[in-house]
Amino acid sequence: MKPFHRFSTQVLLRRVAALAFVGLLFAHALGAPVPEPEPDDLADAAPPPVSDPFIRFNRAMFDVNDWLYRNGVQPVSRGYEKTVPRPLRRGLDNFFNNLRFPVRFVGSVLQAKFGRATRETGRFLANTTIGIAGFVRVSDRIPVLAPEPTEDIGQALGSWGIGPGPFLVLPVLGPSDARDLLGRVGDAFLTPTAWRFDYYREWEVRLAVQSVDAVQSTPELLRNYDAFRANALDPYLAVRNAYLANREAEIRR
Amino acid sequence: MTRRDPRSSEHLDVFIPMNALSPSRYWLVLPAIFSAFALGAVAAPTTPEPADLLRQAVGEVLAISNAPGATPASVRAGVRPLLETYFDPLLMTRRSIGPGWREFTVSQQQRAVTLFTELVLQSYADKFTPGLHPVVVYRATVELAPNRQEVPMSMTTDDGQIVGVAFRFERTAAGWRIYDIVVEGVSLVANYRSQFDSIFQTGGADGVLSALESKIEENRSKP
Repeated sequence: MKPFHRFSTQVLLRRVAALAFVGLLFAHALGAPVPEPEPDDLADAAPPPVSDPFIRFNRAMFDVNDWLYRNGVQPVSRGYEKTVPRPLRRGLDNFFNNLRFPVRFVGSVLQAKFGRATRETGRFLANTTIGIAGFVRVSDRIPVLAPEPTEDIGQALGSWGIGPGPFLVLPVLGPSDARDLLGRVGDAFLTPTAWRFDYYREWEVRLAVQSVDAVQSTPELLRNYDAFRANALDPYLAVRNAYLANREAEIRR
Repeated sequence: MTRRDPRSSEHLDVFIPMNALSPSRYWLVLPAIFSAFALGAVAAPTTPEPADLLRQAVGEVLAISNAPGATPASVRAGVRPLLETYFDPLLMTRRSIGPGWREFTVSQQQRAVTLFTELVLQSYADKFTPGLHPVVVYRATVELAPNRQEVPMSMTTDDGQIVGVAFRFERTAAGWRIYDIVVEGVSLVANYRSQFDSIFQTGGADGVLSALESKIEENRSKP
């Protein structure tokens, strides 16, 4: 019979080695990139709750707008793209964007984003002077004036902690919410194309300028709208969710 | 795409026939086993990180877009397999459908993955056009959960527009894969979730499948 202590050491060693081997296998298993199971990984992508008490009206208005876009706005927009050369379209887009400087400036100041407000002013001055009344966006070539996210009054209201309120679909203008409706009023007061000036045929000139602004801005908007609509199973819900999520992201940045 | 790292744990497989060792040799072998154990723990999980994968994917897409003689059709055709490589269709589909997914049968789940993948490819492959030169700035990776990360970036397009995009990755058995894209705060998964929820509540799994089939057919029939 083998001595007890020798037997004991041998068994112990064998067990330790076996344990180490099992441990090695565990290390192998743990090393493989297999994810840890999670309690409910389907519950974390749910969209936030939405206030939509006017959903029946909103859906009806959404359909009306959709019809208008397809049968009124889209043909005009396509005609504009076919007849106006691309450089001129780009120049007009730059010009009207430059004109909206007061909206961006006040929107920045109301959120205490003074650095952004200063750079907005720099962009406006550079583009209005060197950029020939804003037709050429020369500020893009100046590193300190590189493009930044734009601000508006609705975003300022959101940054003050005011919630979006009920979702709304406005005639022609499209998706909005109560906060942004108020913000749009503020934006309109700050947009020079809406300002009243005392000159000959003031009303007609203002209408003409606003019409050009509306038409020149539609191609890009319609392209985005069409792309969104093409991929949506329920376009109303898709647009509602996208609008609200996008505005919240704009307020945060 | 799956890459095998030379240091991966597959190279640490050790089989020691215990009865081939005399007891005195155990002492010699044990340190080797523990060393291997330690080495395995350190060297095992070295798949490419989400930020590296994204840089690689963006580089490949831009190479296709800026290839000499690239056309919209050639870019679409080239980008499609890339999307299939970097995305995880199953993850994306089940997260988009949400809790209703559990009530799908296995065959309904498989069908949903096929259809939803097709819809997403239809949607995204068209976004890539020849001659893309965006200025891409990558931000710091954000840990969303133990096995989920988000890589945010901003793209400045040729006409000066800044687009904020975030890619959400999940660690799978095959490595990190994209399961969601968030463009300007709009999550693809959350957006589809809001639509699927509504359809599922009224029509169940069949309603979801039928809506997907109709949408794909509608897109195909467009010029």
